[in-house]
Amino acid sequence: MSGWRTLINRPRLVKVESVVDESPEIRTLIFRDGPSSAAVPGQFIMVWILGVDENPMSISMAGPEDLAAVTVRGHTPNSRVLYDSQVGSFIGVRGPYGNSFTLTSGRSLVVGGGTGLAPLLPLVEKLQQLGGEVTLVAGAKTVVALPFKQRTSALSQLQGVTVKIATEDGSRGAKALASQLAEKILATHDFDRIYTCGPEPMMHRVFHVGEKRGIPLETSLERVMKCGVGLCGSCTMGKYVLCTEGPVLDSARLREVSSEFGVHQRDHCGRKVPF
Amino acid sequence: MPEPDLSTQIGPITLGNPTMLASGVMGSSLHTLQRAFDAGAGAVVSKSIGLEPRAGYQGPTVVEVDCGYLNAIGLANPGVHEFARELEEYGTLAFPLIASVFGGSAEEISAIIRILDGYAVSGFELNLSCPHVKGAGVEVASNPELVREIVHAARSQTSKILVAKLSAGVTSIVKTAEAAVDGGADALCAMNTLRAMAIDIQTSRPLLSNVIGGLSGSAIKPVAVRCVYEISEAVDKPVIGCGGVQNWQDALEFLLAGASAVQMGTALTYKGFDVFREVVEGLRKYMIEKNVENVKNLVGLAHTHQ
Repeated sequence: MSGWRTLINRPRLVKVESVVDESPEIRTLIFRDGPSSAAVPGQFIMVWILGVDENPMSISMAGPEDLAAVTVRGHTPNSRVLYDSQVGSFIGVRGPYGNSFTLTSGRSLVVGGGTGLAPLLPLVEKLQQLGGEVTLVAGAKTVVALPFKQRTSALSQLQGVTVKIATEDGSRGAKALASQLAEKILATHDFDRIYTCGPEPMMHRVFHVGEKRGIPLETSLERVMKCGVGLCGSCTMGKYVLCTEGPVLDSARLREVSSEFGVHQRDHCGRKVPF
Repeated sequence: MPEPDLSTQIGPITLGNPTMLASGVMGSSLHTLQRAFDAGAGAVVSKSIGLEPRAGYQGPTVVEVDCGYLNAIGLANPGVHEFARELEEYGTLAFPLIASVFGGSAEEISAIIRILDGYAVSGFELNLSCPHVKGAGVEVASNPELVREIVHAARSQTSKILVAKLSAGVTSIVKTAEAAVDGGADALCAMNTLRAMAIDIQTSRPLLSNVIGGLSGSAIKPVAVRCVYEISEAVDKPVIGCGGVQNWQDALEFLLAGASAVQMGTALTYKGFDVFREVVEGLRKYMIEKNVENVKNLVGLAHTHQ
Protein backbone atom coordinates (compact mmCIF):
# COMPACT_ATOMS: atom_id res chain seq x y z
CA MET A 1 0.00 0.00 0.00
CA SER A 2 1.52 3.28 -1.03
CA GLY A 3 0.60 6.63 0.46
CA TRP A 4 0.60 8.09 -3.03
CA ARG A 5 -2.20 5.87 -4.18
CA THR A 6 -5.41 7.74 -4.89
CA LEU A 7 -7.95 6.52 -2.41
CA ILE A 8 -11.44 6.82 -3.85
CA ASN A 9 -12.89 7.59 -0.44
CA ARG A 10 -10.50 10.38 0.39
CA PRO A 11 -11.28 13.90 -0.88
CA ARG A 12 -9.62 14.85 -4.17
CA LEU A 13 -8.97 18.58 -4.37
CA VAL A 14 -10.17 20.02 -7.68
CA LYS A 15 -10.34 23.55 -9.03
CA VAL A 16 -13.65 25.16 -9.98
CA GLU A 17 -13.10 25.68 -13.70
CA SER A 18 -16.24 27.59 -14.60
CA VAL A 19 -19.54 28.64 -13.17
CA VAL A 20 -23.05 28.84 -14.69
CA ASP A 21 -25.66 31.11 -13.12
CA GLU A 22 -28.87 29.11 -13.26
CA SER A 23 -31.02 31.50 -11.22
CA PRO A 24 -30.46 34.28 -8.67
CA GLU A 25 -29.84 31.57 -6.04
CA ILE A 26 -28.59 28.60 -8.01
CA ARG A 27 -25.25 28.03 -9.62
CA THR A 28 -23.61 25.13 -11.41
CA LEU A 29 -19.94 24.62 -10.62
CA ILE A 30 -17.91 22.82 -13.27
CA PHE A 31 -14.65 21.06 -12.44
CA ARG A 32 -12.41 18.28 -13.72
CA ASP A 33 -12.37 14.95 -11.91
CA GLY A 34 -11.99 11.62 -13.69
CA PRO A 35 -14.12 9.49 -11.38
CA SER A 36 -16.93 12.10 -11.17
CA SER A 37 -17.04 12.44 -14.96
CA ALA A 38 -17.60 8.69 -15.20
CA ALA A 39 -20.67 8.80 -12.94
CA VAL A 40 -23.95 7.39 -14.19
CA PRO A 41 -27.22 9.35 -13.83
CA GLY A 42 -28.39 9.37 -10.22
CA GLN A 43 -25.02 9.10 -8.56
CA PHE A 44 -23.67 11.69 -6.18
CA ILE A 45 -20.36 12.88 -4.77
CA MET A 46 -19.41 14.12 -1.32
CA VAL A 47 -18.37 17.74 -1.80
CA TRP A 48 -15.96 19.26 0.70
CA ILE A 49 -16.52 22.98 1.12
CA LEU A 50 -13.11 23.74 2.59
CA GLY A 51 -13.24 24.87 6.17
CA VAL A 52 -17.02 24.54 6.26
CA ASP A 53 -18.61 21.15 5.70
CA GLU A 54 -18.86 18.11 3.44
CA ASN A 55 -22.21 17.35 1.82
CA PRO A 56 -23.70 14.93 -0.70
CA MET A 57 -24.50 16.52 -4.02
CA SER A 58 -26.00 15.01 -7.15
CA ILE A 59 -23.82 15.12 -10.22
CA SER A 60 -25.65 17.45 -12.57
CA MET A 61 -23.28 16.94 -15.46
CA ALA A 62 -20.85 14.14 -16.24
CA GLY A 63 -19.09 14.95 -19.44
CA PRO A 64 -16.12 14.27 -21.67
CA GLU A 65 -12.56 15.23 -20.82
CA ASP A 66 -13.01 14.57 -17.09
CA LEU A 67 -15.59 17.33 -16.78
CA ALA A 68 -18.28 17.11 -14.12
CA ALA A 69 -20.54 19.49 -12.26
CA VAL A 70 -22.66 19.97 -9.18
CA THR A 71 -25.45 22.50 -8.84
CA VAL A 72 -25.86 24.41 -5.60
CA ARG A 73 -28.62 26.53 -4.17
CA GLY A 74 -26.98 29.11 -1.93
CA HIS A 75 -29.81 29.59 0.52
CA THR A 76 -28.04 28.59 3.74
CA PRO A 77 -24.81 29.98 5.24
CA ASN A 78 -22.86 26.81 4.33
CA SER A 79 -24.23 26.36 0.82
CA ARG A 80 -23.69 30.05 0.19
CA VAL A 81 -19.95 29.52 0.66
CA LEU A 82 -20.02 26.90 -2.06
CA TYR A 83 -22.24 29.09 -4.22
CA ASP A 84 -19.69 31.91 -3.89
CA SER A 85 -16.79 29.71 -5.08
CA GLN A 86 -14.49 31.67 -7.34
CA VAL A 87 -13.19 30.16 -10.55
CA GLY A 88 -9.80 28.73 -9.61
CA SER A 89 -10.71 27.98 -5.99
CA PHE A 90 -10.55 24.46 -4.59
CA ILE A 91 -13.30 22.13 -3.54
CA GLY A 92 -12.86 18.55 -2.37
CA VAL A 93 -14.72 15.71 -4.06
CA ARG A 94 -14.96 12.00 -3.33
CA GLY A 95 -16.98 9.27 -4.92
CA PRO A 96 -19.03 8.95 -7.04
CA TYR A 97 -21.33 7.09 -4.75
CA GLY A 98 -24.70 5.47 -4.79
CA ASN A 99 -26.79 3.58 -7.28
CA SER A 100 -28.29 5.02 -10.43
CA PHE A 101 -31.52 5.38 -12.35
CA THR A 102 -32.53 2.39 -14.45
CA LEU A 103 -31.98 3.28 -18.08
CA THR A 104 -34.53 2.32 -20.69
CA SER A 105 -35.34 3.09 -24.32
CA GLY A 106 -39.10 3.21 -23.66
CA ARG A 107 -41.45 6.08 -22.84
CA SER A 108 -40.30 7.96 -19.79
CA LEU A 109 -41.86 10.73 -17.76
CA VAL A 110 -39.25 12.69 -15.83
CA VAL A 111 -40.56 15.10 -13.19
CA GLY A 112 -38.27 17.56 -11.45
CA GLY A 113 -38.67 20.50 -9.13
CA GLY A 114 -36.04 23.20 -8.60
CA THR A 115 -32.59 21.80 -7.86
CA GLY A 116 -34.21 18.34 -8.04
CA LEU A 117 -33.65 18.73 -11.76
CA ALA A 118 -29.89 18.40 -11.18
CA PRO A 119 -29.65 14.58 -11.28
CA LEU A 120 -32.49 14.36 -13.83
CA LEU A 121 -30.86 16.27 -16.68
CA PRO A 122 -28.04 13.75 -17.17
CA LEU A 123 -30.77 11.10 -17.04
CA VAL A 124 -32.84 12.77 -19.76
CA GLU A 125 -29.75 13.15 -21.93
CA LYS A 126 -28.91 9.47 -21.49
CA LEU A 127 -32.48 8.27 -22.13
CA GLN A 128 -32.59 10.30 -25.32
CA GLN A 129 -29.27 8.82 -26.44
CA LEU A 130 -30.76 5.35 -25.94
CA GLY A 131 -33.55 6.25 -28.34
CA GLY A 132 -36.23 6.71 -25.70
CA GLU A 133 -39.27 9.00 -25.78
CA VAL A 134 -38.84 11.37 -22.88
CA THR A 135 -41.22 13.92 -21.46
CA LEU A 136 -39.53 16.21 -18.96
CA VAL A 137 -41.68 18.21 -16.56
CA ALA A 138 -39.53 20.96 -15.05
CA GLY A 139 -41.08 22.95 -12.23
CA ALA A 140 -40.20 25.93 -10.07
CA LYS A 141 -41.85 28.75 -8.17
CA THR A 142 -41.25 31.25 -10.98
CA VAL A 143 -39.49 31.29 -14.36
CA VAL A 144 -36.69 33.31 -12.78
CA ALA A 145 -36.19 30.65 -10.12
CA LEU A 146 -36.25 27.82 -12.66
CA PRO A 147 -32.70 26.44 -13.10
CA PHE A 148 -31.22 24.86 -16.23
CA LYS A 149 -33.30 26.95 -18.64
CA GLN A 150 -30.57 26.80 -21.29
CA ARG A 151 -30.03 23.08 -20.92
CA THR A 152 -33.71 22.17 -20.96
CA SER A 153 -34.21 24.37 -23.99
CA ALA A 154 -31.38 22.55 -25.79
CA LEU A 155 -32.86 19.19 -24.73
CA SER A 156 -36.27 20.13 -26.14
CA GLN A 157 -34.66 20.42 -29.59
CA LEU A 158 -33.56 16.80 -29.51
CA GLN A 159 -35.39 13.93 -31.18
CA GLY A 160 -37.79 12.21 -28.78
CA VAL A 161 -37.69 14.85 -26.04
CA THR A 162 -40.66 16.97 -24.96
CA VAL A 163 -40.13 19.58 -22.27
CA LYS A 164 -43.04 20.96 -20.27
CA ILE A 165 -42.52 23.81 -17.84
CA ALA A 166 -44.62 24.34 -14.72
CA THR A 167 -44.33 27.48 -12.61
CA GLU A 168 -46.39 28.19 -9.52
CA ASP A 169 -47.02 31.79 -10.58
CA GLY A 170 -47.60 30.91 -14.22
CA SER A 171 -44.70 33.07 -15.44
CA ARG A 172 -43.81 30.32 -17.87
CA GLY A 173 -45.59 27.22 -19.05
CA ALA A 174 -48.44 25.84 -16.97
CA LYS A 175 -49.49 27.62 -13.80
CA ALA A 176 -49.13 24.54 -11.62
CA LEU A 177 -46.91 22.47 -9.41
CA ALA A 178 -44.70 20.04 -11.28
CA SER A 179 -46.59 17.15 -9.68
CA GLN A 180 -49.93 18.59 -10.82
CA LEU A 181 -48.75 18.97 -14.40
CA ALA A 182 -47.34 15.44 -14.27
CA GLU A 183 -50.68 14.12 -13.08
CA LYS A 184 -52.46 15.90 -15.91
CA ILE A 185 -50.07 14.45 -18.48
CA LEU A 186 -50.46 10.97 -17.01
CA ALA A 187 -54.22 11.21 -17.42
CA THR A 188 -53.91 11.30 -21.20
CA HIS A 189 -50.53 9.74 -21.99
CA ASP A 190 -48.98 6.36 -21.39
CA PHE A 191 -45.51 5.87 -19.98
CA ASP A 192 -43.39 2.85 -19.18
CA ARG A 193 -41.55 4.51 -16.32
CA ILE A 194 -41.57 7.64 -14.18
CA TYR A 195 -38.51 9.28 -12.65
CA THR A 196 -38.73 12.10 -10.16
CA CYS A 197 -36.55 14.29 -7.97
CA GLY A 198 -37.31 17.40 -5.96
CA PRO A 199 -38.78 18.34 -2.59
CA GLU A 200 -39.91 15.16 -0.90
CA PRO A 201 -43.61 16.07 -0.65
CA MET A 202 -43.52 16.59 -4.44
CA MET A 203 -41.90 13.21 -5.05
CA HIS A 204 -44.41 11.64 -2.71
CA ARG A 205 -47.32 13.05 -4.72
CA VAL A 206 -45.81 11.87 -8.01
CA PHE A 207 -45.22 8.43 -6.49
CA HIS A 208 -48.87 8.13 -5.59
CA VAL A 209 -49.98 9.13 -9.05
CA GLY A 210 -47.64 6.49 -10.45
CA GLU A 211 -49.04 3.89 -8.07
CA LYS A 212 -52.59 4.77 -9.09
CA ARG A 213 -51.67 4.31 -12.74
CA GLY A 214 -49.59 1.19 -12.13
CA ILE A 215 -46.47 2.72 -13.65
CA PRO A 216 -43.08 1.82 -12.11
CA LEU A 217 -41.29 4.80 -10.67
CA GLU A 218 -37.86 5.76 -9.35
CA THR A 219 -37.02 8.66 -7.07
CA SER A 220 -33.72 10.14 -6.04
CA LEU A 221 -33.95 10.82 -2.31
CA GLU A 222 -32.07 13.27 -0.17
CA ARG A 223 -31.06 12.50 3.40
CA VAL A 224 -28.38 13.68 5.80
CA MET A 225 -25.18 11.91 4.80
CA LYS A 226 -21.92 12.03 6.65
CA CYS A 227 -19.70 9.16 5.53
CA GLY A 228 -21.12 8.30 2.12
CA VAL A 229 -19.64 4.80 2.37
CA GLY A 230 -22.15 2.77 4.34
CA LEU A 231 -20.69 3.17 7.81
CA CYS A 232 -22.27 5.87 9.94
CA GLY A 233 -25.93 5.03 9.38
CA SER A 234 -27.04 8.67 9.08
CA CYS A 235 -28.81 8.11 5.77
CA THR A 236 -30.91 5.06 6.49
CA MET A 237 -34.51 4.74 5.38
CA GLY A 238 -36.08 1.69 6.92
CA LYS A 239 -33.43 -0.97 6.54
CA TYR A 240 -31.92 0.65 3.44
CA VAL A 241 -28.66 2.55 3.44
CA LEU A 242 -29.13 5.38 0.95
CA CYS A 243 -25.46 6.14 0.25
CA THR A 244 -24.82 2.58 -0.95
CA GLU A 245 -28.26 1.23 -1.85
CA GLY A 246 -29.74 4.54 -2.94
CA PRO A 247 -30.23 7.40 -3.37
CA VAL A 248 -32.44 6.02 -6.12
CA LEU A 249 -35.27 3.92 -4.72
CA ASP A 250 -37.83 2.18 -6.93
CA SER A 251 -41.55 1.69 -6.33
CA ALA A 252 -41.10 -1.61 -4.45
CA ARG A 253 -38.62 -0.12 -2.01
CA LEU A 254 -40.64 3.06 -1.62
CA ARG A 255 -43.59 0.93 -0.55
CA GLU A 256 -41.37 -0.78 2.01
CA VAL A 257 -40.31 2.54 3.52
CA SER A 258 -43.75 4.14 3.27
CA SER A 259 -43.71 4.99 6.98
CA GLU A 260 -40.80 7.35 6.26
CA PHE A 261 -41.05 8.42 2.62
CA GLY A 262 -42.74 11.80 2.55
CA VAL A 263 -43.32 11.52 6.29
CA HIS A 264 -40.08 12.25 8.10
CA GLN A 265 -36.33 12.41 7.71
CA ARG A 266 -33.57 12.46 10.31
CA ASP A 267 -31.50 15.44 11.40
CA HIS A 268 -27.78 15.45 12.16
CA CYS A 269 -28.49 14.05 15.64
CA GLY A 270 -30.50 11.25 14.12
CA ARG A 271 -33.80 12.61 15.42
CA LYS A 272 -36.94 12.28 13.30
CA VAL A 273 -38.04 15.53 11.65
CA PRO A 274 -41.44 15.56 9.92
CA PHE A 275 -41.78 17.05 6.44
CA MET B 1 -18.45 -35.00 13.72
CA PRO B 2 -21.73 -33.33 14.66
CA GLU B 3 -22.41 -29.77 13.49
CA PRO B 4 -19.94 -27.50 15.34
CA ASP B 5 -21.36 -25.33 18.10
CA LEU B 6 -20.66 -21.67 17.45
CA SER B 7 -22.67 -20.34 20.35
CA THR B 8 -20.73 -18.29 22.84
CA GLN B 9 -21.44 -17.08 26.35
CA ILE B 10 -20.56 -13.54 27.33
CA GLY B 11 -21.43 -13.06 30.97
CA PRO B 12 -25.20 -13.43 31.32
CA ILE B 13 -25.98 -13.56 27.61
CA THR B 14 -25.58 -16.27 25.00
CA LEU B 15 -24.87 -15.41 21.38
CA GLY B 16 -25.78 -17.78 18.57
CA ASN B 17 -22.38 -17.10 17.04
CA PRO B 18 -19.32 -15.11 18.09
CA THR B 19 -19.88 -12.09 15.83
CA MET B 20 -21.31 -8.71 16.76
CA LEU B 21 -21.98 -5.45 15.01
CA ALA B 22 -19.64 -2.84 16.49
CA SER B 23 -20.92 0.45 17.89
CA GLY B 24 -21.03 3.39 15.52
CA VAL B 25 -21.79 1.47 12.35
CA MET B 26 -25.36 1.29 11.06
CA GLY B 27 -26.41 1.60 14.67
CA SER B 28 -28.59 4.68 14.74
CA SER B 29 -31.70 2.97 13.47
CA LEU B 30 -33.42 -0.06 14.93
CA HIS B 31 -34.22 -1.14 11.37
CA THR B 32 -30.58 -1.44 10.37
CA LEU B 33 -29.65 -2.99 13.72
CA GLN B 34 -32.32 -5.58 13.02
CA ARG B 35 -30.94 -6.01 9.53
CA ALA B 36 -27.47 -6.76 10.90
CA PHE B 37 -28.93 -9.44 13.12
CA ASP B 38 -31.02 -10.88 10.28
CA ALA B 39 -27.86 -10.93 8.19
CA GLY B 40 -26.18 -13.15 10.75
CA ALA B 41 -24.66 -11.05 13.55
CA GLY B 42 -24.81 -12.81 16.92
CA ALA B 43 -25.64 -9.52 18.61
CA VAL B 44 -25.64 -5.84 17.71
CA VAL B 45 -24.35 -2.77 19.50
CA SER B 46 -26.09 0.57 19.00
CA LYS B 47 -24.58 3.92 18.23
CA SER B 48 -23.26 5.48 21.46
CA ILE B 49 -26.09 7.27 23.23
CA GLY B 50 -25.59 10.28 25.48
CA LEU B 51 -27.87 12.20 27.80
CA GLU B 52 -28.44 15.01 25.30
CA PRO B 53 -28.82 14.98 21.51
CA ARG B 54 -25.60 15.76 19.63
CA ALA B 55 -25.33 16.74 15.97
CA GLY B 56 -21.69 15.73 15.80
CA TYR B 57 -19.04 17.48 13.76
CA GLN B 58 -19.23 19.17 10.37
CA GLY B 59 -17.77 17.22 7.48
CA PRO B 60 -15.43 15.77 6.44
CA THR B 61 -16.10 13.23 9.18
CA VAL B 62 -14.97 10.04 7.46
CA VAL B 63 -11.88 9.61 5.33
CA GLU B 64 -10.25 6.52 3.90
CA VAL B 65 -6.59 5.97 4.65
CA ASP B 66 -4.23 3.13 3.76
CA CYS B 67 -5.59 -0.06 5.36
CA GLY B 68 -8.43 1.62 7.14
CA TYR B 69 -10.58 4.60 7.86
CA LEU B 70 -10.46 7.72 9.99
CA ASN B 71 -13.67 8.93 11.54
CA ALA B 72 -14.61 11.94 13.62
CA ILE B 73 -18.37 11.76 13.54
CA GLY B 74 -18.43 13.40 16.96
CA LEU B 75 -20.75 11.09 18.89
CA ALA B 76 -23.80 12.25 16.94
CA ASN B 77 -26.85 10.71 18.58
CA PRO B 78 -30.49 11.57 19.25
CA GLY B 79 -30.08 11.58 23.03
CA VAL B 80 -31.34 8.95 25.45
CA HIS B 81 -34.93 10.19 25.58
CA GLU B 82 -35.51 9.98 21.83
CA PHE B 83 -33.69 6.65 21.68
CA ALA B 84 -35.97 5.32 24.41
CA ARG B 85 -38.98 6.61 22.50
CA GLU B 86 -37.88 4.78 19.38
CA LEU B 87 -37.31 1.58 21.35
CA GLU B 88 -40.85 1.88 22.61
CA GLU B 89 -42.28 2.56 19.12
CA TYR B 90 -40.37 -0.28 17.52
CA GLY B 91 -42.01 -2.83 19.77
CA THR B 92 -40.62 -6.29 20.35
CA LEU B 93 -36.88 -6.59 19.81
CA ALA B 94 -36.34 -10.02 18.32
CA PHE B 95 -32.58 -9.65 18.56
CA PRO B 96 -29.97 -9.04 21.28
CA LEU B 97 -29.37 -5.30 21.30
CA ILE B 98 -26.59 -3.90 23.43
CA ALA B 99 -26.93 -0.18 23.96
CA SER B 100 -23.63 1.68 23.81
CA VAL B 101 -23.62 4.64 26.19
CA PHE B 102 -21.19 7.46 26.86
CA GLY B 103 -20.91 10.33 29.26
CA GLY B 104 -18.45 12.59 30.96
CA SER B 105 -19.12 11.37 34.46
CA ALA B 106 -20.44 8.51 36.57
CA GLU B 107 -23.65 10.49 37.15
CA GLU B 108 -24.33 10.91 33.43
CA ILE B 109 -23.71 7.27 32.61
CA SER B 110 -25.89 6.23 35.56
CA ALA B 111 -28.72 8.44 34.37
CA ILE B 112 -28.62 7.04 30.85
CA ILE B 113 -28.59 3.44 31.98
CA ARG B 114 -31.31 4.06 34.52
CA ILE B 115 -33.54 5.30 31.70
CA LEU B 116 -32.75 2.53 29.23
CA ASP B 117 -32.63 -0.40 31.60
CA GLY B 118 -36.39 -0.77 31.59
CA TYR B 119 -36.49 -1.16 27.82
CA ALA B 120 -35.87 -4.27 25.78
CA VAL B 121 -32.11 -3.84 25.47
CA SER B 122 -30.07 -6.93 26.39
CA GLY B 123 -27.40 -4.88 28.10
CA PHE B 124 -24.93 -2.03 27.86
CA GLU B 125 -21.53 -1.26 26.46
CA LEU B 126 -19.74 1.62 28.16
CA ASN B 127 -17.89 3.78 25.66
CA LEU B 128 -15.03 4.83 27.90
CA SER B 129 -12.62 5.25 25.12
CA CYS B 130 -13.91 7.36 22.27
CA PRO B 131 -10.68 9.02 21.21
CA HIS B 132 -11.73 12.31 19.83
CA VAL B 133 -14.30 13.98 22.02
CA LYS B 134 -13.22 16.33 24.80
CA GLY B 135 -14.71 15.54 28.16
CA ALA B 136 -15.68 12.01 27.21
CA GLY B 137 -13.83 8.92 26.17
CA VAL B 138 -10.09 8.71 26.31
CA GLU B 139 -9.72 11.07 29.21
CA VAL B 140 -11.93 8.70 31.14
CA ALA B 141 -10.21 5.54 29.99
CA SER B 142 -6.77 6.83 30.87
CA ASN B 143 -7.71 7.08 34.53
CA PRO B 144 -8.26 3.61 36.02
CA GLU B 145 -9.85 4.97 39.19
CA LEU B 146 -12.38 6.93 37.14
CA VAL B 147 -13.06 3.84 35.06
CA ARG B 148 -13.74 1.83 38.20
CA GLU B 149 -16.05 4.55 39.51
CA ILE B 150 -18.01 4.81 36.26
CA VAL B 151 -18.38 1.07 35.82
CA HIS B 152 -19.43 0.78 39.44
CA ALA B 153 -22.07 3.48 38.94
CA ALA B 154 -23.30 1.76 35.78
CA ARG B 155 -23.40 -1.58 37.57
CA SER B 156 -25.69 -0.14 40.23
CA GLN B 157 -28.28 0.70 37.55
CA THR B 158 -28.61 -2.66 35.81
CA SER B 159 -28.26 -6.37 36.23
CA LYS B 160 -28.02 -6.81 32.47
CA ILE B 161 -24.72 -7.43 30.72
CA LEU B 162 -22.27 -4.60 31.20
CA VAL B 163 -19.36 -4.43 28.75
CA ALA B 164 -16.53 -1.95 29.22
CA LYS B 165 -15.09 -0.89 25.86
CA LEU B 166 -11.49 0.13 26.33
CA SER B 167 -8.88 2.20 24.56
CA ALA B 168 -5.32 1.34 23.66
CA GLY B 169 -4.37 4.98 23.86
CA VAL B 170 -3.50 4.69 27.54
CA THR B 171 -0.42 3.73 29.50
CA SER B 172 -1.79 0.32 30.39
CA ILE B 173 -4.95 -1.13 28.90
CA VAL B 174 -4.56 -4.02 31.32
CA LYS B 175 -4.80 -1.63 34.27
CA THR B 176 -7.98 -0.15 32.76
CA ALA B 177 -9.38 -3.63 32.24
CA GLU B 178 -8.66 -4.57 35.84
CA ALA B 179 -10.33 -1.38 37.03
CA ALA B 180 -13.41 -2.12 34.93
CA VAL B 181 -13.65 -5.64 36.32
CA ASP B 182 -13.22 -4.21 39.82
CA GLY B 183 -16.14 -1.89 39.10
CA GLY B 184 -18.34 -4.83 38.14
CA ALA B 185 -18.06 -5.19 34.37
CA ASP B 186 -19.23 -8.53 32.96
CA ALA B 187 -16.93 -8.32 29.99
CA LEU B 188 -14.30 -6.16 28.33
CA CYS B 189 -14.18 -5.03 24.73
CA ALA B 190 -10.77 -4.29 23.25
CA MET B 191 -10.56 -2.01 21.54
CA ASN B 192 -11.90 1.31 20.33
CA THR B 193 -10.29 3.30 17.51
CA LEU B 194 -6.85 4.88 17.77
CA ARG B 195 -6.28 8.64 17.74
CA ALA B 196 -5.03 9.55 14.30
CA MET B 197 -5.19 12.12 11.51
CA ALA B 198 -4.46 12.76 7.83
CA ILE B 199 -3.38 15.90 5.97
CA ASP B 200 -4.08 16.84 2.36
CA ILE B 201 -0.72 17.72 0.89
CA GLN B 202 -2.15 19.96 -1.83
CA THR B 203 -3.81 22.41 0.54
CA SER B 204 -1.96 21.47 3.77
CA ARG B 205 -5.34 21.04 5.43
CA PRO B 206 -6.18 18.31 7.93
CA LEU B 207 -8.72 16.15 6.15
CA LEU B 208 -11.09 15.76 9.10
CA SER B 209 -12.95 18.87 10.17
CA ASN B 210 -12.21 17.86 13.77
CA VAL B 211 -8.54 17.44 12.76
CA ILE B 212 -8.10 14.28 14.86
CA GLY B 213 -10.26 11.21 14.57
CA GLY B 214 -10.30 7.49 15.26
CA LEU B 215 -8.40 5.05 13.07
CA SER B 216 -10.17 1.77 12.37
CA GLY B 217 -9.80 -1.15 10.03
CA SER B 218 -6.97 -3.52 9.19
CA ALA B 219 -4.31 -0.99 10.22
CA ILE B 220 -5.19 -1.39 13.90
CA LYS B 221 -5.70 -5.14 14.07
CA PRO B 222 -2.24 -6.02 15.43
CA VAL B 223 -2.74 -3.53 18.25
CA ALA B 224 -6.20 -4.89 19.02
CA VAL B 225 -4.99 -8.50 19.01
CA ARG B 226 -2.21 -7.52 21.42
CA CYS B 227 -4.75 -5.86 23.72
CA VAL B 228 -7.03 -8.89 23.72
CA TYR B 229 -4.06 -11.14 24.43
CA GLU B 230 -2.77 -9.05 27.35
CA ILE B 231 -6.18 -8.43 28.89
CA SER B 232 -7.35 -12.04 28.67
CA GLU B 233 -4.15 -13.08 30.40
CA ALA B 234 -4.71 -10.67 33.26
CA VAL B 235 -8.46 -10.82 33.98
CA ASP B 236 -10.94 -13.59 34.44
CA LYS B 237 -13.82 -12.07 32.47
CA PRO B 238 -14.75 -12.60 28.80
CA VAL B 239 -13.03 -10.32 26.31
CA ILE B 240 -14.67 -9.18 23.07
CA GLY B 241 -12.20 -8.40 20.31
CA CYS B 242 -12.67 -5.39 18.08
CA GLY B 243 -10.43 -3.70 15.54
CA GLY B 244 -9.81 -4.64 11.94
CA VAL B 245 -11.78 -7.86 11.66
CA GLN B 246 -12.47 -8.24 7.93
CA ASN B 247 -12.86 -11.99 7.49
CA TRP B 248 -13.05 -15.31 9.35
CA GLN B 249 -9.29 -15.61 9.60
CA ASP B 250 -9.11 -12.27 11.43
CA ALA B 251 -11.93 -13.40 13.71
CA LEU B 252 -10.10 -16.64 14.46
CA GLU B 253 -6.94 -14.71 15.28
CA PHE B 254 -8.86 -12.76 17.92
CA LEU B 255 -10.41 -15.93 19.36
CA LEU B 256 -6.97 -17.52 19.64
CA ALA B 257 -5.73 -14.36 21.36
CA GLY B 258 -8.40 -14.81 24.00
CA ALA B 259 -11.58 -13.23 22.67
CA SER B 260 -14.91 -14.96 23.19
CA ALA B 261 -16.47 -12.95 20.39
CA VAL B 262 -15.52 -10.30 17.85
CA GLN B 263 -17.13 -7.07 16.71
CA MET B 264 -17.07 -5.74 13.18
CA GLY B 265 -17.65 -2.19 12.05
CA THR B 266 -15.37 -0.91 9.31
CA ALA B 267 -15.68 -4.26 7.55
CA LEU B 268 -19.20 -3.25 6.55
CA THR B 269 -17.94 -0.58 4.20
CA TYR B 270 -16.06 -3.24 2.24
CA LYS B 271 -18.51 -6.13 2.48
CA GLY B 272 -21.83 -4.80 3.67
CA PHE B 273 -24.09 -6.79 5.97
CA ASP B 274 -22.98 -10.05 4.30
CA VAL B 275 -19.78 -10.03 6.32
CA PHE B 276 -21.40 -11.66 9.35
CA ARG B 277 -22.54 -14.73 7.46
CA GLU B 278 -19.17 -14.87 5.69
CA VAL B 279 -17.25 -14.92 8.98
CA VAL B 280 -19.56 -17.42 10.64
CA GLU B 281 -19.42 -19.74 7.64
CA GLY B 282 -15.65 -19.49 7.53
CA LEU B 283 -15.31 -20.34 11.22
CA ARG B 284 -17.76 -23.19 10.84
CA LYS B 285 -15.83 -24.75 7.95
CA TYR B 286 -12.58 -24.30 9.85
CA MET B 287 -14.02 -26.03 12.90
CA ILE B 288 -15.26 -28.96 10.81
CA GLU B 289 -11.89 -29.28 9.13
CA LYS B 290 -10.00 -29.16 12.42
CA ASN B 291 -12.54 -31.23 14.37
CA VAL B 292 -13.32 -28.44 16.82
CA GLU B 293 -16.69 -29.16 18.42
CA ASN B 294 -17.23 -25.92 20.24
CA VAL B 295 -16.00 -22.42 19.43
CA LYS B 296 -15.08 -22.01 23.10
CA ASN B 297 -12.29 -24.55 22.50
CA LEU B 298 -10.55 -22.01 20.28
CA VAL B 299 -10.57 -19.17 22.79
CA GLY B 300 -7.12 -18.32 24.09
CA LEU B 301 -5.20 -21.10 22.35
CA ALA B 302 -2.36 -18.70 21.57
CA HIS B 303 -1.62 -18.53 25.30
CA THR B 304 -0.62 -22.17 25.40
CA HIS B 305 2.49 -21.39 23.37
CA GLN B 306 4.21 -19.01 25.77
